[in-house]
Amino acid sequence: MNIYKLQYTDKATGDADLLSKGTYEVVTDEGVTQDVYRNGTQAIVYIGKIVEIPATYDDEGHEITPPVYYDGVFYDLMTTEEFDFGTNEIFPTDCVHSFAGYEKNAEGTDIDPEELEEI
Amino acid sequence: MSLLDDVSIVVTPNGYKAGTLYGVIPTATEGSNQVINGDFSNGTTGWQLQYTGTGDWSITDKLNFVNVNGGSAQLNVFEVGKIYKITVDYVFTSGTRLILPYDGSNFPTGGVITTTGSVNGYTYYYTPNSTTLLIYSDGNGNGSVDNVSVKEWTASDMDVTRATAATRVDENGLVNFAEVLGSELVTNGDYTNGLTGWGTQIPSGQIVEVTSNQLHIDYDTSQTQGSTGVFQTILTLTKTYKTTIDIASVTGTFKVQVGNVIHTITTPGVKTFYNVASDTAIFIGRKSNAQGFEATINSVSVKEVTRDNVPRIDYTGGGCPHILAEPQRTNLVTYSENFNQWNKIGITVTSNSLISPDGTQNAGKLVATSGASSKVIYQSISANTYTASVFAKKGEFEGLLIATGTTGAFFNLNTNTYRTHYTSPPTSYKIVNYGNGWYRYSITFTQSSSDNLYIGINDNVSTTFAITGNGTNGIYTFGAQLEAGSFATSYISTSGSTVTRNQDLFTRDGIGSLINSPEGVLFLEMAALSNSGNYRLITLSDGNTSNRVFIGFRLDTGYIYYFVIVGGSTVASHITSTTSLDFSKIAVKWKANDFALWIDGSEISTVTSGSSFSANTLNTLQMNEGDGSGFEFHGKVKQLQIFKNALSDSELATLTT
Repeated sequence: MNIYKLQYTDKATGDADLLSKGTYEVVTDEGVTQDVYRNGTQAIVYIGKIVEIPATYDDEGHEITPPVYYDGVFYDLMTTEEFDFGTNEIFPTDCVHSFAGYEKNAEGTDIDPEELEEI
Repeated sequence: MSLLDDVSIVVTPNGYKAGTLYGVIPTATEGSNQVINGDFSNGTTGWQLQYTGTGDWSITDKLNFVNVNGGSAQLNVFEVGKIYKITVDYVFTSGTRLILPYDGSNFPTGGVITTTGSVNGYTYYYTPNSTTLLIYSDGNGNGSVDNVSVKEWTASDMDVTRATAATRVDENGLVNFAEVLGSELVTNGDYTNGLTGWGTQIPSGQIVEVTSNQLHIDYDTSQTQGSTGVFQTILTLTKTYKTTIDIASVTGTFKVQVGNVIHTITTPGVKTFYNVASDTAIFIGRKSNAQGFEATINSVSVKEVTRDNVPRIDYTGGGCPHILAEPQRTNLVTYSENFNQWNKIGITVTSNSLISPDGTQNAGKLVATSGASSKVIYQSISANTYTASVFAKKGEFEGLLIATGTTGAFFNLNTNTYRTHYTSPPTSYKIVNYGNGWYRYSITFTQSSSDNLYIGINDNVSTTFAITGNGTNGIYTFGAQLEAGSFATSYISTSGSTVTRNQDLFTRDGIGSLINSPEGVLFLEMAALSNSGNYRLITLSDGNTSNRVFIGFRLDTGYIYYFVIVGGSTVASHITSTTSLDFSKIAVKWKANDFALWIDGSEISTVTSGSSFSANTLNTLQMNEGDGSGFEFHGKVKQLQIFKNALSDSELATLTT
């Protein structure tokens, strides 16, 4: 299994690149248009913006300072196929998202499920 | 006559393995070998050497290939649309890949060999797109192939795809991962045969022995003599293992090391660990720098664990189980079980306070601090439609709050009921019993701007976040989940990041011989997960959407409906105004000029004109729109049956009652 961590300037750019690479296609049937995974895609997770510096809150939970985000938006792609995403592929060391059964920072090709739990 | 005389496919929540949900009927059968001269004992008979590409192909009682970038072939082996069992002996010495068979564009699942080595009797299942058996290698491939067997495989087992782990409620009512365990890997794990099978590390003066069928390790406190204990080299790198150790007694500290992962043991009892092997041995003994310990161990078990693609037989609610098919969802709560990691106002968290719905001592206790103030934990959320859920059990307090700053609900943990709303009512709420006093409470709401998700303690009186605590009293919680969507799905465990569970996909190709296309009945006992959402279909088709029979739930209403589409034209259909959050028995009959929909013993709709399918048209069963993906079925299925005859009204009434 391959897991790619991807960064784009915005969602439209990211969606277009993933569509152009054949990871999904837009299908209309029964009057409904939807994105359908293709070519080995197991999941595309749109993470959106990722917080670099968290917001701060007062004792009642009200926001004092807003969060600071990393540039752009982020996706996680799980697929059986290999793709070249060029500079859109990133290699984070402390990921904010993972796939069930895979270690938190799993990325790259030929990934196996990682440690799931321990007591 | 029994209805079973006519049924050709039956799938129920029955046996399974990773990637497969076994059908009950028919019993799997193999046809005759379709390959001529598969053992290459008769020279080139039946084979066309170097059918494509370059390199040297030869036959010397086996098919040899040297520096090839292409394939040798036997023509007219397969019939497209059927499923075949392929068995082969191979030697792959070097090259990029050995592919059996390659049709020019599709790689057969299980039939692409990239690791060099030799295997006899290598077996896998294949649905061809071409009639040609092309044995192919590239990257200047070298090796040989022998004893090639291709037999038609007839079964109704469904392929299951979900490349992530997923939880369900097991037969004991516990929330845990659907998984398949391999055979026992430990030799003499119960120590009935002394230390047979175990390697030992015993420094001078230390004790590692078996007495009375128990492993006894005694490491002197006054010495630091290094590694002391027992080991077996039984793990394969990157595979996941379940290790269970039964410890009779322990003083001090010792370790169970699975690969490179160290588990520190300080208390007796049965301990279970899940690990991916990053080394090949399991070791039981002294932990580095430990100055002394004594341990007595009853038994050790290590089994390989597979969780990806394991179908979920779900026992939620008790009684007969069902097949659970869910959409992709992400738990946006980053610490679903460790509530100490949440932001806290007026709450302290005591971890591992109670046995949770997963059967282990890992439920947290939310304790209200002394005095009157807000008593909540929270994390930030952005604008969207969500369902938030948490398992909760009453403690000294008997009230639970799930809310944002603009909407929410108070639940009574004593009566397990919705008490009232916070600020404004949520779109909906749900309470599900998980036994032993645990309930899963959820609310669905739409957040128009960024806010926080709050989980709080309540006194069943207050309608704000504030109650009066004493620093001791609280409630028990486990498994918080926040997912984008209008209903709660199965629990997704997180520990430091958001986690995605992939969608469940069920398909079965190559069953044309089991379906009588001109007439038949598709019968389902099924329920929806929600009345909202997209179309959710279960379809018999020819692999495309132009020839198909489907039963499903409709877009955003959950209404049960069916279509029969022949040659791209709808010949029969009916959209009910019946939703199905509870299980319904639904049957669609198709036959030229005779179509009908039956639900729970009643004939709902008939169509008395229209053509049906030509013979041998329908050949695939899919839990989607019928062409591989799209409108995937999300729901619960207790029975799926396909009949090869259009049943009579009385038979359909019996079947659906």
